[in-house]
Amino acid sequence: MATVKETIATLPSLFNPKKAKGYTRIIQLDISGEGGGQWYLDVKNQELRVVEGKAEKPRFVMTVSDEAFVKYFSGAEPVMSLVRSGQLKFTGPMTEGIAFSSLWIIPKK
Amino acid sequence: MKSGIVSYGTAIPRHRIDVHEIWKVWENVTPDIFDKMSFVERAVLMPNEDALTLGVAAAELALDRSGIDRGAVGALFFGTCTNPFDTKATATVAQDALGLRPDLFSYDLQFGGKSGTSAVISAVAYVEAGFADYALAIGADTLNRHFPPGTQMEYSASAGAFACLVGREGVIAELEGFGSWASDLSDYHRVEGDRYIQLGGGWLGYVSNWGLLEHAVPAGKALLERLGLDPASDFDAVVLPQATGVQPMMVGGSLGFDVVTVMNSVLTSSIGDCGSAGALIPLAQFLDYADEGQRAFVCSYGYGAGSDALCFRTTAALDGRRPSSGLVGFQLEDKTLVDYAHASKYEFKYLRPATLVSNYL
Repeated sequence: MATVKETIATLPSLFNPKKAKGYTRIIQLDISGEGGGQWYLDVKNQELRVVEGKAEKPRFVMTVSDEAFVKYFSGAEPVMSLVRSGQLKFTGPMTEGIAFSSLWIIPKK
Repeated sequence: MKSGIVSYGTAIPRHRIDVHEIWKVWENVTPDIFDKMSFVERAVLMPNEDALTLGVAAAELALDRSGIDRGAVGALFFGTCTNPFDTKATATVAQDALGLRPDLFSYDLQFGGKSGTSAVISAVAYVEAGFADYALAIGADTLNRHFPPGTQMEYSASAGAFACLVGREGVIAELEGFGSWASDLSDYHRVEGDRYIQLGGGWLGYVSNWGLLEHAVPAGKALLERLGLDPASDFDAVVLPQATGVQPMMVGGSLGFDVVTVMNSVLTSSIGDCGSAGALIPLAQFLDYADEGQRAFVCSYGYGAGSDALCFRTTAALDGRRPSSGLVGFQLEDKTLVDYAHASKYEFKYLRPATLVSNYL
């Protein structure tokens, strides 16, 4: 299984700019466990910037274990399954959490 | 139908308030509800802003983008449930402000939160009937000024406007069909002389979305069946009632739309409940970036008014006419946050006597 850092590095290639038209958001990733940490995603003008650290005022926060984070972006487990099992949680407007999943082209396994 | 949207524009007040600023003063809901309802910020009106000024600003943008001589506009329909005048017509003021000709046919249309979509349908009907080459439709509301201080509605009640020029030539989004569903429901209302809107169903009726599914679902379902379209696969954008973030999930699920597609057109967390413009500003955002041949489903809901459902399909004319400035995304991000005291002052929540002799605001 890939590490969190390796998965973070794949995010720009998974990002779907077509689904980010008019989408301007800062999203905090709060990843627990070994190799976890804080990153934030800055989406603007259909471009994604991944920054290590804490954002000042993110629109919402994804709190996730290292294992679940890798599972989500590798396509090993669907996001709804991770949410239902409590391994992944969105804090912020519920609509934003759902819309977030459309920003990515996640490999199907 | 051959007619549809030729050009469009929106106006969103620049001033906003974070819902937590309101909560710090009233503490009248559990703050957990903000995430569940997707309440983050809502618009604040300046003293010189109302449904008329916002509607005119949106219409100016629509007319400028059309490149069409204003003398060609033969009708104007102004939809709002927060008309700045109790008796006087708003459409005539807009007509003058926009420099439109005096012999056009115009009227105000008051039909709850679906006044905007009803204005669009009226404009299309007028053009389709051959009474005018072009008709202007405006949907604008200022709910934020019209809910009482200290009620939970203050968290979401917002303001905004959408306008579109409807015609048969140079159409960028053709109206493929529409449908309505209306019945009497004693919800949001202001009786004569009332300063503020009251909730007929109270807070419980509001959070349970009393009346929403009973109107939005039959309106939407009838249109989908009539057009023979599959909600799960035939739409690139789905714009549903979004006074709260829960509403589009309820309506979208009931009509069989993909929830992620629905959520891409939900602006509740950015701007709150824009009333008559609530379902039309997200349509404008879709048109800002749409490609030829894409289809959008739009459904509005007005408390006590019912629902309109509309289906648009973009045309090849969009390519040369896609706006490069004044986009919805820009208007949403162009903001100045204010505190609750200033919001209350600007929205005339505490009115001075009309005869007050003072220069001090």
